[in-house]
Amino acid sequence: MRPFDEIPFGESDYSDVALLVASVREWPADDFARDLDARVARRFVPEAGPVARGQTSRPSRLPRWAAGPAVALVAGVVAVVVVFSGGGGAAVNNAASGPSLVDHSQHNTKAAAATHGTSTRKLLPSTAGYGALSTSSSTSNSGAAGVSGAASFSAAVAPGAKQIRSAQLDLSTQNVHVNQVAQEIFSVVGDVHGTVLSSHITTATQSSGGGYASFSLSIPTGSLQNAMTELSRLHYVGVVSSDNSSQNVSHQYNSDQRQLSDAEALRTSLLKQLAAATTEQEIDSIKAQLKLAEQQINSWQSTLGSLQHRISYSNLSVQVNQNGLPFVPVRKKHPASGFTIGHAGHDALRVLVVSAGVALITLAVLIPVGLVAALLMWLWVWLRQRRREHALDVAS
Amino acid sequence: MRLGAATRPSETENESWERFEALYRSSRDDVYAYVLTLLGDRAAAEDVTAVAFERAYRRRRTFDRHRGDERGWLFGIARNAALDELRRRRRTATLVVDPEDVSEDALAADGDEDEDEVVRRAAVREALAALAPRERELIALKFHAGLTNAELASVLGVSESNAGTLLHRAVQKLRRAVNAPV
Repeated sequence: MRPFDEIPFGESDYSDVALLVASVREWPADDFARDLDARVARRFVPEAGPVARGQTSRPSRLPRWAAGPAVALVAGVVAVVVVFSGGGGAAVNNAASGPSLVDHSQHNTKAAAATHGTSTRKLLPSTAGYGALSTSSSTSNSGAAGVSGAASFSAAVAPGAKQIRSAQLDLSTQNVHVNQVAQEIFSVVGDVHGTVLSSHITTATQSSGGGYASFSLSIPTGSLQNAMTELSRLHYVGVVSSDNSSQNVSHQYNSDQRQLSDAEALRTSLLKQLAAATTEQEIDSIKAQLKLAEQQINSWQSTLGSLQHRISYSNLSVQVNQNGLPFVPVRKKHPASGFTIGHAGHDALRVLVVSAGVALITLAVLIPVGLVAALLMWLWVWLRQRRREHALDVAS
Repeated sequence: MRLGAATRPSETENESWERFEALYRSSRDDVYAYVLTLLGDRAAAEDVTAVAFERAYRRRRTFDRHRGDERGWLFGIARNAALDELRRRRRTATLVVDPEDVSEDALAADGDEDEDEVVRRAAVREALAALAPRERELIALKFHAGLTNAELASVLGVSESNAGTLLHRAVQKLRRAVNAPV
């Protein structure tokens, strides 16, 4: 006997202990042994009636093998809900922020079909070096509503201010009415004493599309609003959108006028000096200065006249079927369009690509979810085993 | 190889059942003795033994021979079931009736035997009771279940050498307790 030897003995060295332990071994009771034999013979199928002692009867409980997939499924559903709710929120945010990125002078074709347009004011750098206040008003209509947005536009302008106005009106009509609408536009322009700067009319007899007209009009500013109202009320016409914009040029106008006045004052002064001149050399010098002053006066008058004309007459661009009722090209049927190897190969490749994409996305979701589920399962098993071992440690 | 491994489905089921039944017949009493050693309560040991065999039957297809012997696998299941029972007892905290004392029953059963033998058995029972629960479990697994050190290691989740060392210490302690002067 080697009481302090830590090296395990061979099996035969425990024979004395085996005899000792065997002498106190407990055996199962006969009733229990018979009952258990019967249950094993029935392959643990429960008998009808009360549940036998020690018999586990938990049919409603989830099978153990299904716990992992169930956890993974729940985690997957949660992940998908989180992912898609997050994505949806982003989409909403993008949609909400979209209009703010659009230039205010552009048509907002997605604006509500209300008669009120959006109106914004912003400071634009002037080509003449002056700051100019620009105002723009857009109205988008899906029906034949009028251009009441323009009415509110004029109310925002200070009385007496010099401003250059321009407008654009998009109309739509049926293909067969394009020519008639164009004639009515000419008529309206004449009524308001405007002029047609340029026009382009394309008529088409096919109902499939192609009818189109565009006009570049110069309308007296005072009649611009009236003209737009009349144009929007033409027969067979619906207003797609209208756009008003104006640029406040009061500062530029006043400046140009001041320059002209100064030039005229200089000429007056030079004329007086010329009348008082005595020597030939002095007269020649003053005449030269007068010539320059005259040129400056002509230049400023021209500039001021041009500006005044732009103020007095507004540019109005009218488009009928701007985006056009699209031509539907007549496609000749190819004799081999039904089936070709190339088409079949393309379709097959497309199916493969889409399938691979779906599989990739599925894996991208399932792999992390599966890893988390496996970790949780492992943690659960580890904790359970620790509790079991602890139960043995504390057992007396 | 698994308990249910075979070439055809019908053979798989039949072979699986036959192997389980053979395992049951060879291990029933050993499992009971082992579980009783852990729990010290006949009624609970019977329940846990039944639960262990039912679990083993349900999971027989998960048995992997590469991971150990069938008996080791079965005693692992029995061990978990017994430890679950110990945990359940701790949760229920108070017992309406204390577990029956196995040693007293055994003493009563030994009444008609030789007095020296009775005394010797009483000493052995006392020595076993004096062991720590884990040492008692080792003794039971070794001498009731007849597991090898490798199977012991598999059931307890320790290395084989560690299992041998632990067993040796438990045996030595038991020997000293049995041979100690009264």
